[in-house]
Amino acid sequence: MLDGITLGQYVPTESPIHNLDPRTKIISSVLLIVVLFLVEGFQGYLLIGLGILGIIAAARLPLGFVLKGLRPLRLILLITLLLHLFMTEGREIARLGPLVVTYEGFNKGVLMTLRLGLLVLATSLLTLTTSPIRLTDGLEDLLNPFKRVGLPAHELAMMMTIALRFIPTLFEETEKIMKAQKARGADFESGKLSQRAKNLVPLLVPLFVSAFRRADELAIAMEARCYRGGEGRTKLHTLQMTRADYLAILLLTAGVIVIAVVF
Amino acid sequence: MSANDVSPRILMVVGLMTALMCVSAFVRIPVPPVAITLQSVVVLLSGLVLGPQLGPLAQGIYLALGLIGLPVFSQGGGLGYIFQPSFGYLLGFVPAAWFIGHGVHGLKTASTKRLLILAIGAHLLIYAIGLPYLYLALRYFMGTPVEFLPLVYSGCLLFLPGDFLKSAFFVVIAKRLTNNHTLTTFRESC
Repeated sequence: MLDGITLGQYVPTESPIHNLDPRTKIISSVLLIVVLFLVEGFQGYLLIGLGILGIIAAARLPLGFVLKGLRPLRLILLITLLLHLFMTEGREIARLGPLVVTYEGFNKGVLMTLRLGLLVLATSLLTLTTSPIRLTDGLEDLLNPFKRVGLPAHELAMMMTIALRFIPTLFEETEKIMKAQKARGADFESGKLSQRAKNLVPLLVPLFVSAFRRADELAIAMEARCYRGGEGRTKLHTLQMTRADYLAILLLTAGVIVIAVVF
Repeated sequence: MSANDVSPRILMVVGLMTALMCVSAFVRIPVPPVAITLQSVVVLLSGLVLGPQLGPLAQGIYLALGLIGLPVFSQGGGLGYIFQPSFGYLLGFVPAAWFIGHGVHGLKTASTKRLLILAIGAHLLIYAIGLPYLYLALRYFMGTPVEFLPLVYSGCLLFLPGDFLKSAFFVVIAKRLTNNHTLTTFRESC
């Protein structure tokens, strides 16, 4: 019942892309998304696709592994392609029984599918090359300017880090409670729906209660260590923009502008 | 909420509730013909136990975690998830948690009837955001021309019986949790 969850999307290798500042990579992802929406045409997508391949190569990521990220979307990609293929009016190029494939439909279908696929690939690059902790660090830093309007950037990042830290723990706990209930005769997999729902009650209630108990214990531990929020707090690893970061952003921005203007 | 009044207690409990959201996306109950997740029940419960401010906050942080690319949504994660037509349902979690939190705010114990109505309302709120999003995403992100009415059927009506069951399930759990000693003492110490 518990499908394996892997938070290890991150591929820990040594590469120039991995070494970039997480802020650079977050900004770059946004840039890539923007350009994918500005461009409408095969040449533009081809160039962006080549660019993404270049980044994958520079990051020393196995291409097959990156492409696997498209798998959850395969159905949506297929539906997009088929709907356009058969539902667009225009010049007929092929006929399958009552279904007519048009030139316009073919064009649009391939383009839309490409756009969607490239969007997912482009955004997956961020997590493939950045560890979750560095990501939340980068996000906190990018949100810092909004502190002036009252956004608690540090606290938000802290909550994200806590959540990340406890996903595996809560997973284990869920499994443990499930096994404990099964040992007492609870059946989650068969039987009447109402009976199964009833069996889930002694799973969810303890989960919530233990989450609260844990929160209480950890808060006491934090207070005992004089945790007092983000004001004046220093970090073990401070983020540092290097020359490579500025170069990367400059290159990408230039590329985006050229592609957006030309295509 | 300003930065000053966020105690470690609040940090922890919101973080843990977010983690619980992530876990619940992957606990599948095989009910033919499809496996359902209990995620929407956890959404409503987060509103119940955390209240009208922190409940939606936990949901917002869940969304943020998924959007920066951690695979905490049922089909992965990443900024590209915005372009998934079903992303609107996830967005609907935020007002749903608020709705429940608001509905029971300040009450010592909520009646069964009240809880059931709140739960159904929260589920409908998820659709109120999810369906228009589905429609607009199909139309504009994917350029797929679809009619709104058939979408209402396949994107909402099909799931309503299941959601009604989940609402009833929520009420059972909610009843157990509101009188729970650990939860009440925790809230008093906040």
